[in-house]
Amino acid sequence: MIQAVYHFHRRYSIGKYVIHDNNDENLMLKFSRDGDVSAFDMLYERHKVPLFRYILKQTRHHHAITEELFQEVWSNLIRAREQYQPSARFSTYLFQIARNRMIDHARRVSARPVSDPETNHEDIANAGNDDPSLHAHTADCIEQLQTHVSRLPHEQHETFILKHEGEHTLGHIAEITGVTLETAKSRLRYAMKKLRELMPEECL
Amino acid sequence: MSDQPDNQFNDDKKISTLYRAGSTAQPPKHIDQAIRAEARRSVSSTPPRVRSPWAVPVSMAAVLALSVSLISLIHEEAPTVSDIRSDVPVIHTEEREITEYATKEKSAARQETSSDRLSVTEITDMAQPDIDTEQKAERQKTKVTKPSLQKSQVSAKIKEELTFDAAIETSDEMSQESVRRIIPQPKSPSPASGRAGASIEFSTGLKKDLGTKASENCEQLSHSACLNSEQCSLVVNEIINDSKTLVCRRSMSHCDTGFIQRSDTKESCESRQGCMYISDPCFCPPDVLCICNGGQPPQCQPRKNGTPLQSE
Repeated sequence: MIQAVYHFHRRYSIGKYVIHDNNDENLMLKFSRDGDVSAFDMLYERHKVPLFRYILKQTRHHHAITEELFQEVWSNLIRAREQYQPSARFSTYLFQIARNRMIDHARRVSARPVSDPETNHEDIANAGNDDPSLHAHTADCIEQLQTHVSRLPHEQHETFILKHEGEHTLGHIAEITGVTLETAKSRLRYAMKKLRELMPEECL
Repeated sequence: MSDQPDNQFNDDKKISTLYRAGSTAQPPKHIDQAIRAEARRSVSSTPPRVRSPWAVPVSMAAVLALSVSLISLIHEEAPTVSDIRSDVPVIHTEEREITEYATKEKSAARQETSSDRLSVTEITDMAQPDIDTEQKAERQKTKVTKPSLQKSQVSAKIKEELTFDAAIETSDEMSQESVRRIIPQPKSPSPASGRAGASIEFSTGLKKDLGTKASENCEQLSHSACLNSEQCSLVVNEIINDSKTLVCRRSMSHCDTGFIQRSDTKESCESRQGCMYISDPCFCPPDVLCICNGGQPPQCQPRKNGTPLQSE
């Protein structure tokens, strides 16, 4: 009886089991084992924006490459769903795939992607349109920040983006990038220090 | 100094807020649709592994059934105690048959007073009707399965057993004889002696094959065995000429050959042509307790012209 109630809760996500049942790992298991497409849809909705922005920033706002890599990452996840083991956080797993794809891409083109100034301006303009409360001053600050961030050293840039786009903790960042916690912490500290130095006082 | 970390914290917070405010990019709709469609295609192309709730119990039951059947099969094929014993009755049956034959032979011998000797074949034929049908079947099986155990072996076993029985009976007879010697009794043969005689007669018939062996080893026989032997005679050592010093030698005449000193009577000796019976009343066999002790054992010797009978 208890088992049946639990199954009911699991299936319909009711009560206190919602939190437990609908975490990323369970959703991925539902998709991989049971073929539950709705579970995949939930996962995709949760992680599509952080992942897209992470790739976009890593490719220095190169939209075409970003879209290609973004699609490849999800395709890899779908193809390899049977091999998924919930030994780590799903977001860590997903961003590791993305990172590996970007490394492969960088090797393919043998050059680091260059930022596209037009795209940058477009993003900032879009940002201004989304939030009318942002003034021209703020838009200018954002543009400057975007420029400074894109000019950060690659490791600091990656750590900064993972922190601010993926909402990852330093532990997860260290796991994704394959470094120690102290290294990840140090990279972020240097990145923030440089940005503080570069950003004008009126923006802070 | 304490303001510096606070300022740094505030600056970091502002940078983060500013950065997030500027991050408005989202994946295009067509990418979303393409990825979702791919997920649906992958699921539809590979049907999900539906686990039946009965799969585990059914598989466990199958394993259990298989194990039980395997164990029972092993038990059936392995030789059990009863299977092992199934071989034993072959021997058992033979032994039982031998015992029965011996019993029959003894009873037949006791009834037979004549000197006609029964051959093993006749004994076997006599014994046959008394064996029940089951034993017959077993015996037939034995004959088929163990051809080596044939009548000759059975007869050999019978011989050995009967020799032993005869010795025991003769010993009993000798005890009675010694008692007769202590307490003088009439010369007529008692039923017991007749019975013993028959038994010995029968025994001698069966001991025919063993005679040669006995004759070869007369000197090695004990006094008691010598007294029971047909081929050997226990006599006074002629060299020392002391009645207490006896030797076992091979029988030398037709009178003492076949004459068993321990049990044969005067009549059986003198029924032979030209033989006379010589006995010493004080002779005491080694395994008998007697009042007087000494003298030579009973002898059946060829009668010499003018030799008076000692017993007379």
